Amino acid sequence: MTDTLATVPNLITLSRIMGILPVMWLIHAGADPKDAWLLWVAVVLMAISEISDWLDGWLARRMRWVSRSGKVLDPMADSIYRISVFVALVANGWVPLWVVLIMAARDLCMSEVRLLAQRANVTLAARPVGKFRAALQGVAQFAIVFAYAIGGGVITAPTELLVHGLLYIALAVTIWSVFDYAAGVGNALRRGGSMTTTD
Amino acid sequence: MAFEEHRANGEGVHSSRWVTLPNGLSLLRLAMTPFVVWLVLTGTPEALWTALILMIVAEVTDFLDGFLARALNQQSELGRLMDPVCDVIYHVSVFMTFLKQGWIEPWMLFVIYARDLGVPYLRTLARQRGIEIGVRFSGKVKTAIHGIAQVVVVMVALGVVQATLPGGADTVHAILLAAVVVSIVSLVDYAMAAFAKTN
Repeated sequence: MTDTLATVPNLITLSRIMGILPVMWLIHAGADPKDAWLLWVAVVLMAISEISDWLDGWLARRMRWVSRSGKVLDPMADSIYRISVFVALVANGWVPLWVVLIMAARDLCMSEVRLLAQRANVTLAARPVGKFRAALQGVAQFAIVFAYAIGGGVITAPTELLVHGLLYIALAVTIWSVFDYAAGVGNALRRGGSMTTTD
Repeated sequence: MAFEEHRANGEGVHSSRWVTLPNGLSLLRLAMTPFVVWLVLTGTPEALWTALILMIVAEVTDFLDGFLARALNQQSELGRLMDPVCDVIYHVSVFMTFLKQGWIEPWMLFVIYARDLGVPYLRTLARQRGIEIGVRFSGKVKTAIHGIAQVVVVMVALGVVQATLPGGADTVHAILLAAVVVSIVSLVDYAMAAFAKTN
């Protein structure tokens, strides 16, 4: 495992952050039915972002570019990207505020827990439930923008029910992941050992 | 608690007790968050006045908990975690509620969230390399300005503070811009500290 910061996966991770403002703007501008085509551009950028999220982890393992910094930068970029997209969706009135408040609170709390764990020399890597949560949040926000893109800036009640169903599943797993991490962190600190994943 | 092992290298940590007055104040701020969110969303003058009082109480407890922790020698490992967690969850939640009211722009929330989430990750990165970055002055200024900005925005909504500044600028926009600028300055300040001694 390398200690360098400038690895290819880390550069891909940071480029995801660069893509956030364009995606937010496209979602905002595309809310106007006249300019709903912009939502398709947002869909493409969001798809690229999801692929790059998968790609940086895959490359890191495949090319042995796994870095300790990557384990910190990847969840950071992931959270900033997802919460920012949700913020754009809240501004459009497409997602309830309280759902995003819970998701943001979880991520803000986890960032400080990671720092606490690192002081005990434990680098917290993403846990399976945490990865599942991130994937579900990604699917939910992608589905919402996709549904509005198809509907030309509006969606029908059944479609809304469907995409909000996905959103609430993502929220449920988000809450589950809080308890999962709490248990994991507690165990790791008690052992004084490491809960970094080596895969 | 499970954090005993690394208390040896935790600086300024004098108490392993976590039921302390400062921690209670941090928790109080967290507990107030949904009420402030709900009151601001309700938006009636009565609700906004109540929100304003709670928001001022929140800012006072934020100042008090750190002060009391030092004065009463009740600095605890849990307090080190809870104080920043409760602080950012409260402030970010209130800003997101402003978004729902159309008082703040989505891109501003991207900057605010990226800073508040990113700084603990930067500190974690630095800690991996053995560099301990404590709470920096820019972080304290950021927190203070965010608190003042939120109180001023609600005061403008209530008509207590003029909606336009003497120069003709929009008060809410100007104060929120100031909040965004301190977030950027603080992020750069922590980033420079995190990477300073490593190259």
